[in-house]
Amino acid sequence: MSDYPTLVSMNENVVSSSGAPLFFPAAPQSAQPPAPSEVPEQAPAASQDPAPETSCDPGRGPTSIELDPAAVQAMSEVELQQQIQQMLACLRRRTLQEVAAGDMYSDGTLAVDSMTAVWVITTFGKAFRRRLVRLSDVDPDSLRSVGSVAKLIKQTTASLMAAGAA
Amino acid sequence: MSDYVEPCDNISQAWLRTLQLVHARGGRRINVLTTVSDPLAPEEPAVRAAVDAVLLPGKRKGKGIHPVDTVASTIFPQELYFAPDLTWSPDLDAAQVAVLDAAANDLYEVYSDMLPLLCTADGNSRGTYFGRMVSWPGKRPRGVNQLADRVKYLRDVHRTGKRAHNLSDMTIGGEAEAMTGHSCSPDPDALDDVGLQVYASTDRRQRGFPCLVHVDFTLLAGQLSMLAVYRHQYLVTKAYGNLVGLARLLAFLAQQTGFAVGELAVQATLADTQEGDFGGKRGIDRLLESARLPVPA
Repeated sequence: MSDYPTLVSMNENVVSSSGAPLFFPAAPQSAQPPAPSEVPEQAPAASQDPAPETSCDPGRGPTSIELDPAAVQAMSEVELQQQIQQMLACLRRRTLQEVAAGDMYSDGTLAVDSMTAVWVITTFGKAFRRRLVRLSDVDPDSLRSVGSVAKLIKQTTASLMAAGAA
Repeated sequence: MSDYVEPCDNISQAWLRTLQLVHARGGRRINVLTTVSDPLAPEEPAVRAAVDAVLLPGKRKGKGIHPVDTVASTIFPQELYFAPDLTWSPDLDAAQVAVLDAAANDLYEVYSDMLPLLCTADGNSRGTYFGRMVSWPGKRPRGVNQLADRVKYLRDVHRTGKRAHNLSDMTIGGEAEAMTGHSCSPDPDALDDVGLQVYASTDRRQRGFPCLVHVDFTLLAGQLSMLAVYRHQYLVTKAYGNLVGLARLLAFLAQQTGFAVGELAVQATLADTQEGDFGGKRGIDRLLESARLPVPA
């Protein structure tokens, strides 16, 4: 308890919380990161198309994700959405089904927070070895769902193709 | 004149009482100390709803307004920390420690990678608070990870304390700072300062980032407590989110080092109700009133 000299009496240390991770979404306790087969499982309900492969080393976590820029540029928006959900599974060390069971945004795709959206854009940018956007130029609504992020990535990588062709 | 807010049980009350006090004393006060006795206690819905209602994203008088969680994420991006259901202890086996470490390392590395992009957001050109904690000086990946250093140090202290059977009296940031400079130090490589540096000597701006200039941790009686020093605390747009972010940071450190969560204190060298941006004194009156109303079912 903080002390302040002008106060006559202060309670001694109050009983505090235990330090358990109450503030965090606890993942299932496991002594091992998810096995490789758990990460890129079945595609989410949004589409029955086979999900593209995401290279995610479960021993190294989300920073090990490697995306092929040519494959990314060839993806449709729906395929990009599937790709992003696989990346989220890797980030959260959860199965694809667990990730897909999250809250939906009004556009019918998985809702994401803006921080996670920025991570997704960063990871795609690494594949192209460049920053895809300036956040100050991005509409905040583009950072609210898997669908809106996929659309943003499709737009930005398409312009990269055009620049490369020119 | 310095001001003191009686310690509060939770973040919501701490914010509310601080705003009440500063508002009652003119809207701007120096050296205001706010204390949350139990930073992980549930928030009060009425207070949080009142804050959320004011902080609708957008611009107000040309200044960006951000929701509580966005502000909190500048201090601790909880969205990127996927905590296992484990608390560090010297008794954990290697596999369990690996899981805990992986969660922390994912957070550090993911956020560090994001820094160049995060710095392109409005208001982030000089970096972010969490960036300064995990990749000092905070604008590029692979800077100095102060947070990882503190986790390592506090784990070492935890181990040493167990051996000495005297953990309950060990202090870090206070008594231990002096101790580390002497031969009685439990660890010759111990950090001289357990606090987190978030302010650089090159920061010359008088207002704006960084408002948070220092975070200090103290271990006493097995509890890890935190003091955050703000040079300018914006009580409407930032203070609530700051408290939430600081509490999350403290919870992270407690989980990663095995200590209990102690209290959270914030020292604002200048606390400002921002009445000029929020409808004058009557606007702050209305905000305070709405924070006391029960939330409709």
